[in-house]
Amino acid sequence: MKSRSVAFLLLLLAALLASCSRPAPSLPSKPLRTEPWDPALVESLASTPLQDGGRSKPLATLASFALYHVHGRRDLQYTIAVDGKEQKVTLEPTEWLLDVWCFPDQAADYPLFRIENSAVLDALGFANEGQSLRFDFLSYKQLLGAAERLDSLSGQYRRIEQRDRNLVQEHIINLDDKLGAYHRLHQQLGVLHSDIRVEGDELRAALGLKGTEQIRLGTFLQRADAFVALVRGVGQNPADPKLGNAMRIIDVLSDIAASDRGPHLFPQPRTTPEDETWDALREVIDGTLRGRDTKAEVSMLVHLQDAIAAKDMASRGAALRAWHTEVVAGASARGEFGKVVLETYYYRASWQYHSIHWFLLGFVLAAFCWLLPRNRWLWWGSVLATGTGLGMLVYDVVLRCMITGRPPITNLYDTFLFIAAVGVATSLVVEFILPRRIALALAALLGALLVMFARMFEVTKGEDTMAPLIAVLDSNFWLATHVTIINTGYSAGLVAALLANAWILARGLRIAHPSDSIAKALIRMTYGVTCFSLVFSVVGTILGGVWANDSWGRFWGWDPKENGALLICLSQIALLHARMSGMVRDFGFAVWSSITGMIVLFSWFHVNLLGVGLHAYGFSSGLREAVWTGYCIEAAIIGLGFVDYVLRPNPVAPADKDVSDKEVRGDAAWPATE
Amino acid sequence: MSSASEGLITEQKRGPAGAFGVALRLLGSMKLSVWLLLILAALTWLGTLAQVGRSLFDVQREYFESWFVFAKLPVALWGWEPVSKPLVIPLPGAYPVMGLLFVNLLVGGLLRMKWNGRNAGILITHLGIALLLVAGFVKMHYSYAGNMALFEAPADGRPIGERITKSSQFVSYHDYELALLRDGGSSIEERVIPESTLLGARGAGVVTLKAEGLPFTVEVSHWFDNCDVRAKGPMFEVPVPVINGLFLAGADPTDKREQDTAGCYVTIVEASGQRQQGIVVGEERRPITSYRSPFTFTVQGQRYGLDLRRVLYDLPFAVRLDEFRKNDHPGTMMAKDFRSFVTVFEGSSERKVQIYMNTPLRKDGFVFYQASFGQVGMGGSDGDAVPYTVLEVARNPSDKWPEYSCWVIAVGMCLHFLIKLIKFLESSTRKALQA
Repeated sequence: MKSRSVAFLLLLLAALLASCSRPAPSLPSKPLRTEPWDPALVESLASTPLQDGGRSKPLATLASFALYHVHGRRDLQYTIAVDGKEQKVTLEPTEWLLDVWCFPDQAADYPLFRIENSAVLDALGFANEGQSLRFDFLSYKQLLGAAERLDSLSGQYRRIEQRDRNLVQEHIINLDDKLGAYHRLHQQLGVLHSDIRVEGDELRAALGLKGTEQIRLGTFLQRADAFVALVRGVGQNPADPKLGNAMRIIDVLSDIAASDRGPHLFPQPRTTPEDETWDALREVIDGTLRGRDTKAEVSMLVHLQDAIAAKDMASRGAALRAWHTEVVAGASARGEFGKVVLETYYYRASWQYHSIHWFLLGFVLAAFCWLLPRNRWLWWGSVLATGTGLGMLVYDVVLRCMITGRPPITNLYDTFLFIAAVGVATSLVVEFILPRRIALALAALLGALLVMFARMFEVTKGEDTMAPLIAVLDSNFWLATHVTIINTGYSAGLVAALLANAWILARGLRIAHPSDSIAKALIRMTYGVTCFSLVFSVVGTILGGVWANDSWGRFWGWDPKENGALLICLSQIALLHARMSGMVRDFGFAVWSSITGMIVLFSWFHVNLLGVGLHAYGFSSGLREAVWTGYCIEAAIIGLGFVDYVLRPNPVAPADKDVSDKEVRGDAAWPATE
Repeated sequence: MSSASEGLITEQKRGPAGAFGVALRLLGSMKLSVWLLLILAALTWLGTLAQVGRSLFDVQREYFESWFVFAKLPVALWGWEPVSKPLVIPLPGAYPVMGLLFVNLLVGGLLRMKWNGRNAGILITHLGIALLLVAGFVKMHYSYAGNMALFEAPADGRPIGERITKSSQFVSYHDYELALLRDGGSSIEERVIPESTLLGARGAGVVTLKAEGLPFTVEVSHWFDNCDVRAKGPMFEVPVPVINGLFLAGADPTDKREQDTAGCYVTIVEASGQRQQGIVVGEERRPITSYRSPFTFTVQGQRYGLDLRRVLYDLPFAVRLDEFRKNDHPGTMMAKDFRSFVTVFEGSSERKVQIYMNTPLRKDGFVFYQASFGQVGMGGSDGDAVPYTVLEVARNPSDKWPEYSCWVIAVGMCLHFLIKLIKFLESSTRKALQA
């Protein structure tokens, strides 16, 4: 029976994995880049600073989050035919972005835009095989073909209130946003792929063109002084033949400047301490034509232009390295490169990712502890592995604080890491106080799961997780106090719920009798962690009110996020009073704690999904399924507990156990047994 | 949160016998606390869900500032629609629940509880919560709030049209009043009717206003919480009176009540039976102008006016906006910081102050918060872009009480749970040694 169950589970797992994976699509045309990017070059370029989304960041960060946003994965895969055989190619985000900039025609064929609903393909007029695949990809080129239809549909659906939209409508709006986001990146250096046509002998002579009528933008800007002198020298007559097509060139440059909406790539020397914004291409063009000293920026542009025009990868690499060196020098002179280096290291080291392995090791060792309860080595091994994972996670959070210059939590993503760290630490402390190997296993499991969720959330959401804050949140004092305290409360509330779940499962699955010392210990742990959570939830909630009083002019506004926090406090206070007054005993206490866990989920995530309230900065659209999964798991455990309770309201204690009178009394006596 | 093992009885004084004693025990019972907390939690939860698609103001009034509520559970939210209508759950409103909770806390958590060292943490915590509830009560009944919108004052002090750059009044966000104005030649006399009196004119209701010494009565009808004045065309009929070709078109309240505009019809009925009908609309145009255009009429040679307006509150000092500054995050339109540089005038003294996010100005019991901003004109050929600021102004006698209660509660809870933890650890150590 057991082996059959295992086989069934393995089959189920295999089916799940198979449904999650799909063969990498092949490119429709022969790739233009014939050799891979030099890994050393990619590593070096990854740290190239640029300014995007209100802050300076490494190129790798821009590439990663752009890819997560439009593609929904951490890498991009496709197949090409090499010597008649299919060869799978995997591109890291930086390689992908380099392709987008240097080989836009090839990148336009990449299977990029993830479509999860075949009805979206139907709506856009793409032939498809229905919902047989969990998702499909469309290339930029394909989507451009349907851009008009997409634009029309998304415009139509945007007029529908968000809460009234169906999944397909929401998907189409998201797809339109993603197309826009990718289009900006795709067009960023598009202008460097074509030449500017110059007409008129005098104009060509002024620009130093001999035997050609074409000039690249960077070269043009290098020689812009002569162009400006010629135009000014002619005076007010635009029809003067000396001008050639100068007026047309000015129009073209205006169009280029107007269409540039991508990241700012040119760190010009700081003129004032308040000068925080880097130059985008439009400022470089405008500044150059107006006579501002833009030599450094134009030189960067010329290197990019050379990289794009290069005939081979070696000269392309050399041009990109020269570009990197000059941008780094520019950013360093502005004092903005240090954090970019740190951020590059942060993402490359990925301590949080490594912490998952240690947590999983800790969990496996804790599981072995259950089999060999007297083996102290296993216990210490699990504690050390989990502690190492915790150390890595804390270091990860500290690095984030150093990069952003903020306390640990500034957005919903941060809450995953912080709550994971606090949850693991709390569980470890509980394990030290009551070493029953349960809190230890929960610590490791909670850590691994929450960090995995964080990483999934990062990719699904596809937004920079270190983005600058809106004005109302710009208070390190309140972020450090209210936000961290309330999230500590959330974390402990979750740990208490997990401990309560363990009690219900132990009773329901007949692993432990309610009068067993392990069951009693679980209740004590749940009680202790609930008290711990209550202190932080209450103080955090009131501090939130005090902050609101200083920023919005009222202490309490019945905003959904405030209400969520209040619900946790009310539930926990009621629970402790119910326990003290004898209204609930062990079973009721465990069930109520589990329900409080659902309330924590509601407060942590669900209020953001309601789409109302002043805490709109935490909104996220991809969490609904995860939250409901959490509710369902909790409800299933509670349901199991109730079924078991109805069937066995007073389970008979094992006959071979030496159960003292006090322990038999158990439920009623607690916490007198303390 | 007693440390008692056997419930409240061991930690509470027995109290008097008889009916009074029973009432005291009932009011102070821990079971009552649990039920009240659960009802409050249910109200909070349902009140949160009710905010989807409705104005917070309305939900707040219905769920949290009421005696009774028919709470609605929107079943569709659960992705499961067995019935088309939400489930209706009758519940007591937050008024009776919080009132009873306060009494329960006083009787059970403070008066009847034994005042000893063991209970010190709980007593301190309960005191903090009581203070918090009192702060909430005071805030609800004795506070008021509104906003003051000001344009930047030109450096040369020259007024620009009717734009408001300095003010000693602020305007309520939500509340209206109907002002009867009597033209006294050099002055205007005002009598004011609060909005609560006028709400009876919703739907088919008519509210008649009379006052001693006035040779007429005012009938208020067709009150709309949100409406718009429109011209009546020949191709359609309207269910309300048409006056000079205009009528009031009612609209559903939006989910931002402060953006709604109330309006109603007013009919002047003279003693002779002669009637004059007009429309009044509570449109607010500050800071563009404070100019109002009331419905005017003449009775027995005396000129009067009726003006529906947001409630105006006077300040004992004036505030002028000298400069409004907004900084964006580099390369974006996202505000990094926005702040108002103002001068506060009081008598002959002047004081320069900055008001920005998380740093309000507190003066004479009034608190000024940086709430919003805007601008008129886009610059260039559209005319100068002139920024204005919107400051929220609140008067709340219990402004700082929640902060004090927070510290009291934190100290109380930490003390209580630390004592419990230490006792638990001592007991565990003792057991381990005995074993």
